[in-house]
Amino acid sequence: MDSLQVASIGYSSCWVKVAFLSPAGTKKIKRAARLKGDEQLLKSLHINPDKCTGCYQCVLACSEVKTDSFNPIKSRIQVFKFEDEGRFVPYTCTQCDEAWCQKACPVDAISVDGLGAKVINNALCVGCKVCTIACPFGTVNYEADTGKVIKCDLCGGDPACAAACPTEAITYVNADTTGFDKMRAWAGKTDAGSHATA
Amino acid sequence: MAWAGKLLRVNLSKGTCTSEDLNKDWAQKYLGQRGLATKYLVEEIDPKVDPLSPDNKMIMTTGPLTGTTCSTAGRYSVITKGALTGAIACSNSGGFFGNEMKNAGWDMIIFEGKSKKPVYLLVQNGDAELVDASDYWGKSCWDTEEGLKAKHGDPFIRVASIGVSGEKGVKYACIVNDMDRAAGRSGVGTVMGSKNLKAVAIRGTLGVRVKDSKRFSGAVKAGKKVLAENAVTGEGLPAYGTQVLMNVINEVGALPTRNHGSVQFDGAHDISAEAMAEPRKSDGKPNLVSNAACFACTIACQRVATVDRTHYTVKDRPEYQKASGGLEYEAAWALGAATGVNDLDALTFANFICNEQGYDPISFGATVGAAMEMYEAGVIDDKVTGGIELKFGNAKALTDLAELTGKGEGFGAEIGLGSKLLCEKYGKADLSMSVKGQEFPAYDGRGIQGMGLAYATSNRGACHLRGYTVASEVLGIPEKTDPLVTDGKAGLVKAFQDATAVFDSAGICVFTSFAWTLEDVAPQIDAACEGEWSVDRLLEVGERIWNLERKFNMDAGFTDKDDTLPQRLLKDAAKTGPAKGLTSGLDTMLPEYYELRGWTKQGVPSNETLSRLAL
Ligand code: SF4
Ligand code: SF4
Repeated sequence: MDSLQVASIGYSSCWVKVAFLSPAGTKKIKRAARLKGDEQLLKSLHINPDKCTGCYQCVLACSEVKTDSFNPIKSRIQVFKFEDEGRFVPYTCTQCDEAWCQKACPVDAISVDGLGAKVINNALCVGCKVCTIACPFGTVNYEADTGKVIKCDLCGGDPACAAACPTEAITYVNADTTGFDKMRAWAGKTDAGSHATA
Repeated sequence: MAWAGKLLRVNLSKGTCTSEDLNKDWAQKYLGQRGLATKYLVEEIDPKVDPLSPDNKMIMTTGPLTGTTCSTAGRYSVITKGALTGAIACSNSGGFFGNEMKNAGWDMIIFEGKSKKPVYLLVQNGDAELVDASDYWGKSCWDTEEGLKAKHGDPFIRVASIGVSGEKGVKYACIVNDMDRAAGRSGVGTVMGSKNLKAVAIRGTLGVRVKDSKRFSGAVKAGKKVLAENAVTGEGLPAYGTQVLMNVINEVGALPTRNHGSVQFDGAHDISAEAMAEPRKSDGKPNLVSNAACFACTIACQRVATVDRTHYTVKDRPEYQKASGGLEYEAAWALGAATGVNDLDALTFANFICNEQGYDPISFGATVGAAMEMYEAGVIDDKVTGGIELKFGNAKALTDLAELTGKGEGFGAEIGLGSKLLCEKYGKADLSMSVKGQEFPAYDGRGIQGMGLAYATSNRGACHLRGYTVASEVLGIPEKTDPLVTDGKAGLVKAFQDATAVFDSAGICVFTSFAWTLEDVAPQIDAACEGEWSVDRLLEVGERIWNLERKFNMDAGFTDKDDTLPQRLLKDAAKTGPAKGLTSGLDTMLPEYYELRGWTKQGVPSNETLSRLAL
């Protein structure tokens, strides 16, 4: 099963774009600049549904940090059960680089923080729900009791869901290398194949 | 805090739902769930009541930790006077239903009376109403759950329901929630059916709060770490589930086989966790699809499994080719070793039917085993069984009976009586492997001596979950004791019984106790709940609950004569394995147990004991 990669913003993806648009000669300089800024390397939530047991610890942890209570409906991450196949899939905001929700918001209540998270400013949000329509993934949701919308904000860089997950189905990892674990696993298999015939 | 502070009283005769404040003083004395609901039941019903009469009550209840992030804290229990036993019944279930009830703001739902027509209870936070269930009566638990979710347009509504077996009065019907989790034993579903209550559907979005959230979060984190680092809860259970025990218990010589005729099963490997993981011939896939977790559980012991698509049970029935709740050890034992059937797919299919139609696979399998013995001895014949060749080892007989029992039809209706009534009916009372009318689970009291005493004294009839001394006698938790001796077992059984009553009253799963002691549990309860909750206080609560249940049973008419085992375990020695030559040493252990409990020689809690426990 494919891992979902819930990317926080990519400075990485920004750089790719810049490199793509820039003359070949500037590429090197940009890369050098990026090396210098290593401390700003961006991280993203990395979800591997294969490992998920459907335990809801992530859901509970999210509602705990956001509401100081345990209440699955308040969680910004939800876990979906596909009963007949025995699969569980956690799902939350992917923090799009160019965010539909942000673009749709008529009062500019959604901004990007230093982590690349799209964050709702409750003081500005008027609860019009346009962002919930704009988001193609359904990860922005209206909260009737506050009249605002809720969504994942990466918990200021220490996501509670990842910390709570007992199986490492959710990890918070370097955005540039989220696929490497899987690449490594497959690389191992490829190698074993060649040994077998040797 | 932790407790929602409210209970919902549903009078089915009058069709009313009312809200009451939870009795806070009782909560301090009985904690919650099993303990607190038993207190309510004892106060509200006549212990001599017929379990199936409208005067019996049925309580669904959560614990104070239910709905929190404490590992496994999603449990709920059903407390009533059991249809199978006539004793106090308390059946505990996981899944997601318990959390939903708590998040809707209810610690407890008390059902009383009997509805004129089939109804279901719909609860949405503070709103509760009884709704006509005629569209669902006659339907399985699976169809009822799916139907109610679709009807109310909310996939997160949680449903606990009875199947056709519960409607038809099968004595060991359960209440099934989340498709394959069940309040399984003692016939709590039979009581629900007698009240014409088909289902309870709940949606809760109010949130659960604890006393000191910061301290709670630290205690929970520490608890989760202990579970993760423990070999049983961190590795064994997630990888193999409870089924890891099949080969282990067989080797120990305590796997009751063919109605307890022997203590080792030659087909044990074929129905074990290891077999569930082996790729099968037809499609190269194993029986086991994955493991899964109940709400908030960081262990994830649940099995998700499939039946081989080419197997006779499902090949023309695609609806059973999907993945669903797989075999747990107790079910695999009852459906397999107790009946001598070693066909893993037949067992998995029978287990699906148990979940779908809502009845207890332990009592069912054990009853089929007893019927097989009667059939082989010529006590019953094809005329009685409706042409089913009821020989030990006949997989087809097992799966046919599973379907018939699920619908309460044909010989299935007789299997639905449970082994005690069935064997009595044919003049063979001694062939029922049960205590207080409830069938044994998967450990033989000859090969694991402590379990013999645990069964004989269990308040809900034979049961492994009231005092699981297997942990100590076989697995060495918290320390290893010799399973073949009776020395020290009275104290061991008492200690397990009292501690387990605490786990069952807190809202957590008893499987945590493979890794947690009360030292791990107390800080979590203390941070969550009002009051101060030390280990000592919790132990006292556990002992109080045990004695309250005992008192109820005594008042219901049970005596020390009922604290016994079938003659087979007391007289016929084990023929093979480490326990060869041994019978159960119950006679030695029981008097010591009564004394340790502070009960009279007749097993009655003394006045001194009752007042010490403030009962
Ligand atoms: S809420 Fe939707 S549109 Fe906005 S960043 Fe997340 S996934 Fe993208
Ligand atoms: S905490 Fe991890 S294993 Fe549990 S539901 Fe969330 S992602 Fe799945």
